[in-house]
Amino acid sequence: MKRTLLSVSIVVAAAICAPAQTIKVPESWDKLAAKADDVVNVSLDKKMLQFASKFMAGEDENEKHLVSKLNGIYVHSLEFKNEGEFTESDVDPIRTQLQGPEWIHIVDVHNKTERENVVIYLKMVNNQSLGMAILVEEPKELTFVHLDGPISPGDLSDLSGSFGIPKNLHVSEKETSKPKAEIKK
Amino acid sequence: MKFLCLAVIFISCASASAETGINTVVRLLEVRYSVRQHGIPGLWLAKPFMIGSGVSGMKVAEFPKFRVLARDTYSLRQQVEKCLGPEWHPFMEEWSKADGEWSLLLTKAKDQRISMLIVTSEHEDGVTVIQLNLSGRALREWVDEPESAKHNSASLR
Repeated sequence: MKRTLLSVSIVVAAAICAPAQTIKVPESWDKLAAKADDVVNVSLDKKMLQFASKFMAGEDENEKHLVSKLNGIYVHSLEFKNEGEFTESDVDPIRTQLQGPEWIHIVDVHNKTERENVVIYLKMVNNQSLGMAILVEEPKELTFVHLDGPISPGDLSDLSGSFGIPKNLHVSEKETSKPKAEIKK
Repeated sequence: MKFLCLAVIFISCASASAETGINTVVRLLEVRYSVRQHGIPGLWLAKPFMIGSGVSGMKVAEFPKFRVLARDTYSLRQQVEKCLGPEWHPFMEEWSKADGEWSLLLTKAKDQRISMLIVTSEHEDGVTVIQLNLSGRALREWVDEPESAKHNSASLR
């Protein structure tokens, strides 16, 4: 009985202490990072975001409100010297985590000219959006962004270009009313 | 030998004072790599130039002839985080193979103040550890463009 109680306590404690970031960056990205020319990992937790939001004012009011609600912003970016240094199999572990019932694939853009793919997933729980995941694939660059917390697709433009999030990301509410909409770039 | 080294690092981390910071990281680097830090004499002379920049309380330690190898950055980062404890939050890590540069930035929020700890390894300048306090405005600039944070830190030296 004691052992069972101890096991239950450990499981509960582990669940309570689990980090807020729910999407794990696969181990294969560590190997990719070793090959990459430039690696940037940005990690802003709730405490840091709330602190930063206190100093936003004026024209940043929307962004301030948005940032103060988020639980975290996590950006992982890899830039390679040559093309073809990463494959779909390196990205699949992230996509797999976004296949759950809570994640909705809302945007999918393939730019043939620039050979750029952008996919955006929205986390919906009880009809509320509780997170967003953005995966940007370019011939020499791979970027994964996880915005943890209440955020709507229309909010993305407020954060784009800040906090290490790629610039020029914008999704209109109309476009997200149907799955796999288009993104303006 | 490796076990002995790990034991020494563990003991040095465990014996660190409750307030962790630049000294914790300097001690870790000295034990882990058997190197000695060089202080920067007359750093106080730079203080007037920092007025208005939103940066205060800067402390710097340099290891000019030492560089962190690429294969070592992962385990060093883990040890730095372990030694500093949970109050320090890893904010950003950047590695540039072409320039042979590695930077790790950590932040600590306490009493309406943000402290930042920067560990950089550069091909020309070696390893530098910087601790500073940021005003709200400076923090906003650094958080807005994390990638420029490393360059900001270089300009502070």
